[in-house]
Amino acid sequence: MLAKIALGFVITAGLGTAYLLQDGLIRVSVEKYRKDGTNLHLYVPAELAPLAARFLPRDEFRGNMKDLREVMPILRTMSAELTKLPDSVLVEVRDGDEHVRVAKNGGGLEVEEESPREHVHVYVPLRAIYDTAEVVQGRLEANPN
Amino acid sequence: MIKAALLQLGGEAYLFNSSRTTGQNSTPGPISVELFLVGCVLGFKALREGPNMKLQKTGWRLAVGGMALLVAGLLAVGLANARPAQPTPGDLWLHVRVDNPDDRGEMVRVNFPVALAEKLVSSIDHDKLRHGHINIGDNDFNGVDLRAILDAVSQSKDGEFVTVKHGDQEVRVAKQGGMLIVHVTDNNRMSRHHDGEMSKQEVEIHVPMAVVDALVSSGGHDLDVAAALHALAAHGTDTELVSIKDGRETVRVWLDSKNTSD
Repeated sequence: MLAKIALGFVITAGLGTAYLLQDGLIRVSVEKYRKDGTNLHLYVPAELAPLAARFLPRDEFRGNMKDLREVMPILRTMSAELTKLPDSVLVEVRDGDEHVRVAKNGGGLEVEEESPREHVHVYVPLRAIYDTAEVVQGRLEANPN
Repeated sequence: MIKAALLQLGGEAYLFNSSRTTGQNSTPGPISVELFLVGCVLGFKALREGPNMKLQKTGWRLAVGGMALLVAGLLAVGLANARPAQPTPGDLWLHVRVDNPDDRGEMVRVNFPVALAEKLVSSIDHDKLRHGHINIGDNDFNGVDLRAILDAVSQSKDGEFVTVKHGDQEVRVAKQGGMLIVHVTDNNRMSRHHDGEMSKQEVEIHVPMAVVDALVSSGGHDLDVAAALHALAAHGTDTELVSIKDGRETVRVWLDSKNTSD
């Protein structure tokens, strides 16, 4: 009996993990090349982004409503269309020892910045961008004021 | 063996026809919960019917079952994300390449699919750009009716329309072989990168006439940028659109079917 309960927990945990990981992970990595520099490595399940947007207090949108209304359809279109593309470097800028790269990699958008001071790497699954933009747009349309 | 079992249980349909798509065709999407369940069922089925009968104790079953779940889940995640989208033949990419070997060795590369640019422009609703249309109004361009000029150019025959020579500067505008060509030369330009040094600047712009036609197709005071990009995407051939040479600095904008600018 105890084993069955434990098995139930394992399955629930497995399904929960699978649900959270179905859209991949948002990865943020910041490395400061200093002795006391910050090294930050953050891994967040992408499924949490639209979930957070759903429960974000409405006051957070105030003051940015116009911008958000303009940007969300663009984000949705961009993320939906980028999914269809092969992996590609979209933008690459090198200026002296600074290097910035924006690429579509796998199912996500990757931004990488490298300089003698720091290395920043951000990876956001496109599905998360699309879902989050859809949620925010839906909330804006449901409550226009 | 696992792949065969997946196929047997219809896992292939889950893998390559995920319904959780973002409007795209049947590209492999992220792992679906259904797929994970298929993995779970497989894991337990293998445990129950497998030849190793020593795994009958509850504790073992639990441990191996958990491992099977984990492995099935990871396998499904890996498989679902293993097939990247392939480039569609005929899709044109817009490339921008800026190189300046002087100073700090500036380099800019932009690779963008024209079809995506068209869709993005159509989705923008900001300032004068409304859903792919730019309102140029009456008084823009110092009273010059840009639309009327472009309209006239698109209807005229091939030839050189404008040639202006002023000192070391020369500007030529022509229509040739279905392309609008603008050529600007400045033989004695003060280069901004060579303290006081004089250098030659050359600008060459090639625009397919179909793009010009599409740009002015909406009439009124609108320029239809989305239609122009659509015409550019439909152009279908590798085209050098802009070429600027300023001293050692070069700028190139071109179209081709590759997704890299190398």
